[in-house]
Amino acid sequence: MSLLLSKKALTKIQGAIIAIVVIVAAIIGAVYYVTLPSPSPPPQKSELHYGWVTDMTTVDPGTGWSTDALMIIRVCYDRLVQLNGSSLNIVPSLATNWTISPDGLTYTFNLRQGVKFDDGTPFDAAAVKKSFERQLGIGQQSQNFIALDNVEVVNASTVRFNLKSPFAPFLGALATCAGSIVNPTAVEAHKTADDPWALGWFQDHTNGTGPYILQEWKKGSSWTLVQNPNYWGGWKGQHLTKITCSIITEPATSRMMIQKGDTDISFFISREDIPELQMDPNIKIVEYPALSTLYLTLNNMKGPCSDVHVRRALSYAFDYTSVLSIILFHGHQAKGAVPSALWSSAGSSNEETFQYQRNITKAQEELAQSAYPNGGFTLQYLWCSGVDEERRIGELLQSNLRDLNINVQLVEQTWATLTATTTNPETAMDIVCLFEFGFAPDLHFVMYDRFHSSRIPPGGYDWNYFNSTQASSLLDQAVLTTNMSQRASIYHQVDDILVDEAVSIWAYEETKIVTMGAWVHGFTPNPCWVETYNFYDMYVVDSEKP
Amino acid sequence: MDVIDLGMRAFLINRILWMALVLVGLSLITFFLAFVVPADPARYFAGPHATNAQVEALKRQFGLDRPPYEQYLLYVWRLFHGDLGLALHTRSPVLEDLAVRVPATMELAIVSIIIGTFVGVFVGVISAIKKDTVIDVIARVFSLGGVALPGFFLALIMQYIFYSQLSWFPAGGRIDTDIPLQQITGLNLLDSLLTLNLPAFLSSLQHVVLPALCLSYISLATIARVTRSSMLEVLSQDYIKAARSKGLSNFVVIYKHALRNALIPTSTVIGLTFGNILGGAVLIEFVFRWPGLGMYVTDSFLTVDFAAIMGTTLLIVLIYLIVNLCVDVLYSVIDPRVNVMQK
Repeated sequence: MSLLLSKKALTKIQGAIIAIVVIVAAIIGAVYYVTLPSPSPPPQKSELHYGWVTDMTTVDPGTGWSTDALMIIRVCYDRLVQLNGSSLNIVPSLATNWTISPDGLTYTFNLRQGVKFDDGTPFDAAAVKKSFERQLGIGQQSQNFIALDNVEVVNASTVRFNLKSPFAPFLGALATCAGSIVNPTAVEAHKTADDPWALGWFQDHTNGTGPYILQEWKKGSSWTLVQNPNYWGGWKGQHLTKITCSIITEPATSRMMIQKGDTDISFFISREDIPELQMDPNIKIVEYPALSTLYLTLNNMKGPCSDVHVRRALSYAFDYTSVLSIILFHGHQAKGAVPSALWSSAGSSNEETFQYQRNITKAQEELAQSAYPNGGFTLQYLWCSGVDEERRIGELLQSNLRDLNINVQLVEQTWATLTATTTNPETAMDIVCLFEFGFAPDLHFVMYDRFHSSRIPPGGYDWNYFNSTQASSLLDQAVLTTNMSQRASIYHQVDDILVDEAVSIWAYEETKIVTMGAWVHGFTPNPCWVETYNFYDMYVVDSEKP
Repeated sequence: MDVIDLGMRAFLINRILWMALVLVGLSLITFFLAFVVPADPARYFAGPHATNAQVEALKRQFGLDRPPYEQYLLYVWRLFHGDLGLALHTRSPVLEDLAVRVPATMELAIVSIIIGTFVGVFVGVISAIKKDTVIDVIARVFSLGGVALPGFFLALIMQYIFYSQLSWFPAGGRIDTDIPLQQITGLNLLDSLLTLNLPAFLSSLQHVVLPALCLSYISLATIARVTRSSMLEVLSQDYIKAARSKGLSNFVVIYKHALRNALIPTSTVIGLTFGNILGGAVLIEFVFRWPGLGMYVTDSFLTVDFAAIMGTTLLIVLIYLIVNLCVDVLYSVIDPRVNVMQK
C-alpha cells in the first residue's frame, strides 16, 4: 500500500527533530570549548593523580587491612619505627632510639620532640599508649600485638611496652600499619556510648602525625589527600602537595589515561600492555620484587595429598618454567616457603634452599612409595573467580599430572565462598591456588601464620592443614630468640622441613610493576609496602608532561 | 457482556497490593538463596589474617551466628524501622550506599531513556514513512547494531575514539574531581541547576554524554523497531485514509493521529527497556567508572553480603514495578479508550 504523503509533512516533523539534535550538539560543542579537558593545575603545585581499582572501605588503622586502606594509612599516620627506603631494615620514625631489655620483655622508646598531630595537638607518650589501647580494644587488626601486655608512660617523651612473653618480631610489628599512632583527642571528641573507639569517625577521617590528611572521599568515585602543615618532616624541598585518586575499574581505561597524562602513576596496567608502554618515551616502568608468592596449598590432612610421597610427586611433576609464561616472565620460581625478599629482615637469604624441578622420573619414584603407585585418583583444584592466572595454572597442573595418571578437576569459586570452603575442614579441597602477600618485615608473620599447628582452620591461615610438632616448636623458639643469626638459622630449619615435606607447591614469586609518567619522580618501592606509594618523597614536574 | 469500570483508584490499590506481595516473596527467595552459597562475610570483613576469636566476635556483632529464619525476621524488623543493615563489603549502612549510588544510576538511566526514546521514535517513524528506501535500510541496520553489539564493547570503542583519540569527552566519572557540587537529590544535572552552579552543570553534562549514548543505543534499537512496525500497521488503517481524505495535512495525520496510536506498544517497550537499562548499566558503569548500582550489586553478590544484596534487590524490583505501573497508567492518557481495569 503506498503512502501518499507530501514532502511538507515530512519536513515539519523532521525539521523539528533535527532542530533538537542541532541544539543538543551545540550545547555539547559549547561544553567542550568552555570546559576543556585539562587535567593539570598551574605548575607551582606538585599534584599527583593516580587510579586504583576498588573503592576504599575504611582508613582506620584499627580496622583496615586491604591495600586501599594501607595506601592512605601509610601517609596519613606515622609509626614509632619505619622501614628504610627499599629495604626491610628498621629505622627511627616517631621514636628516635630505643632499648630492649635482656629478657626481651621490655621495650623502651624515646620519642621525637616537637611533633604535632594534623590539628596541632602535641604528640607525646600518652598518645602512644592510647593508640595501642585502642588497637587492642577494637581487637580486629591486633593480631601482631598479641604478646603485648600493657603500654606505660614513663614521661612525656618516653614510652615503655611491657610484653607477656619475649616476642622477637615486635619491632617489625610496630612498623606495620596496625602500629599507627592516632590522635587521642580525636578519639575523645568522636566517641559515643555505642562506639567507644570512635570507629565511625575514623572510618572516613584521618588524624595522625603523617605528612598528609584525607581531605575528601567521594564514595564510589575518588578521594583527595592534602598536605599536613604541621608535619614534623617539614616541607622544604620537593614534595607532593596534593594527591587525588580516582577509581578506575577497567585496565584498558587505566592505560589510556596514563598515556594521555590524565593519571600519573598506576599499579593497575595489564602485563600484556607493558612492552608497548616501554616504547613510549613519556612512560617509565619500574619492576621490583614484592613479598608476593603464588603457591598451591596441598591438603596435608585428608585425601591423597596427606601422603608426603604424593606431595613430593606433585612437586616433581609441576612445570615451574612454563608457569612463568603465564606472568609473562615478570618473576621467577619461588624458593622455599617464604618470599625471597623477606629473608633480608633476618640478615640471611634463601640461596641454599632446595628447589623442586620438573622431573617425571623422580615424581614416579615418589609416587611408587605412596598408597597410589600407579596414580588413578582425582584431585580437586580450587581457584578464585576473576583471577585468570589461577585458572591457567590449574590447566597447566592438569596436563602435568596426566603424566602420573592423576586427574585434576578445576573448581571455581568467588573469594568469599573460597574462604568459607577452605576454612572448613570438612569441605576443604585438595589443592587451593593462593597469592600470599607479606605486610610485615619479619619472617615470623608469614611462617607462623601459615605453618604453625595452632593456625589450622577454622580460625587460622594454615590452609595446608599442615601439622608438625617439630616445625611448630621451632617456630615458637624463633619468637623467643632475639639473636638475629640464631633466628635465621631456626627459620632455615623450618623452611627445610617444609620443603622436604612438600607442604605446598611453591610456583613463583612475581615482580610488581609500576607504570608512571616520566614526569613523576621520587617513587621508591618497598617489598613490604607493596602497591602503596611513598607520596612524601615523590614529586611531579609538570613541564615534563606530554 | 458488560464492561465494569472499577475506576483508577481501585486499580491502583489492587496493583499496590500485588506489588507488596511480589516484594515479600522476592525477599524470602533472595534471602534464603544467599544461604545456599557457602560464604563467610565476617571473615571477609576481618581479613584473612584475623584470628578465629576475632571472626567469631564479628559474627556475633552482626548476628550472623543466628539461624537463618531468625536473621530474616530481624532483617524485616529493621527494614520497617528504616534500617537496611550494614553492608560488610563497604562497611557503611546499606541505606547510605544506596543514597549515593541509586541517584547516579537513575541519572544515567533517565538520560539514556530520553535519548533512546526520542532518537528511537524518530528513527522508527522515518523508517516507517520511508519504508524500503535507502534511509529505511540504514535506519534498520543502525537499530540492529544496538541489539547485536555488546554494550561493553561499544563502551570501550567509544571511550577509545572520543576520549583517547579525540579528547572530546573525559574517560569516566560523573564530574571533575575539583569542582564542588552541593548534593540535594544526588542527580548532578538537577542539583547543579538547582544550586545555579554552571561549571558543575557543564562538567556533569560532559561526563554523562558517552555513558548515556552507549546505554541508550541498546534501548533505542528496540524502540525504533517497535515504533516502525506499529507505525506501519497504524498507517495502513482505514481511519488514516479517512483523515487524509478529509483534507488534513500530512503533519497532522502523522503526529496527531498515527503516532499517538503507534505509541501504545512503544510505551510498553519503554517500560520494559527501563529494566534492561538498569541491567545493562552494570557494564557501562564499569567502563566509565560511573559510581552507580552496577558495581555495587556485583561486589555485593561476589562477597555474599546479605544486607547489600537484599537492599539492592528489593530496591531494583521496586523501581521496576513502579515504572511498569506508570506505563500502564500512561496507556489511558495516550488512548482514552483503553481502560486498564476491564473485566
